[in-house]
Amino acid sequence: MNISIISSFIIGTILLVSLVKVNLSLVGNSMDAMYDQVAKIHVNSIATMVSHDFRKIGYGLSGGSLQEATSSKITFQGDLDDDGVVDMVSWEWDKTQDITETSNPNDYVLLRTVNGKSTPIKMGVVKFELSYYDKLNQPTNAIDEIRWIQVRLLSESADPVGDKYMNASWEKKFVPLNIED
Amino acid sequence: MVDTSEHILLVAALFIFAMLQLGLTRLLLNNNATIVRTELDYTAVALAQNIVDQSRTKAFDEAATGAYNLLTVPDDFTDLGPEIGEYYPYYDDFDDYDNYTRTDTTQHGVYETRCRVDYMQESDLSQVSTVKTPHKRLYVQVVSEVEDTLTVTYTKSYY
Repeated sequence: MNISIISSFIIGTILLVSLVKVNLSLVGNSMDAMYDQVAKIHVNSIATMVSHDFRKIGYGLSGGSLQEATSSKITFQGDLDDDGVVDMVSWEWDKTQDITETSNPNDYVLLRTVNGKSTPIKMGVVKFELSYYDKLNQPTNAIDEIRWIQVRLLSESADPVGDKYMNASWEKKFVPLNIED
Repeated sequence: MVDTSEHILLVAALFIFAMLQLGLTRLLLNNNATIVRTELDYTAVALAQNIVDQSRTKAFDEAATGAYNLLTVPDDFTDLGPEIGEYYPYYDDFDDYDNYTRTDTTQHGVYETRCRVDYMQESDLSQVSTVKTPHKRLYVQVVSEVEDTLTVTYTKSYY
């Protein structure tokens, strides 16, 4: 075997390995991007619904619109669709309901209930945290003192990429006009 | 045996391949940077909206707070900024947010928020006015840890 064949073999192997590595990086990256995009779309969809509902807390009635306010559940009244009828709305992150359709062990069902009709939201929610503040921006749990509501949301992909789940998050502090002094 | 011309061809081929790989790596890095920036911007928009949401519930001007006052518009409006002794979160009118700054720690790091309020021209609401008018604009700038900057504006009118 002469030197030219050996050197050709070595160089060919290097090129082949490089090509395979580039290909693997591309596949990994596109999977990352796809799962990340899906997580972002999920967060954006939930954020849109939450914003739609939370901004209307107390709309159409005077006072006493908040019924329940915990770190994982909020129940309030408000005329969601501006039809003159006050709706009873509830958002709850139910940690007893695992999403069985995904391989992610940390995601649970987010439940939106309007006038007793529940809509389970299975969008990889691994965190849905509610915090409440009074008019001086101090944390409070007293329902009649709540003026601002902060939502922290974290959604993860259904399946892992390697050993990690891609995630997207969103947080917002709502100042519903109808419970503002 | 391999002659010199073949060596040159081989080196040229390797160089071209390396350049292609570098281009591809740059593309992947840019892609990741865009993903991260989108995430940072998303949080920044929410923080800026928080300030806007708070400010829009306030009175247009200190002179318009409390009981109904008959005002000469715009001469009776006060200067921009919080009145003496007023500080966040005790703001009671829209322009109190002028020069207001705050730092928020979020799931995506620390964000600096700076606010400015200006009177805007009646004839063109995109132009800052040097005199008092019935229109004020809140300019909220949010800067992330990586100096990614985002601005949100909100214009409030007296009428």
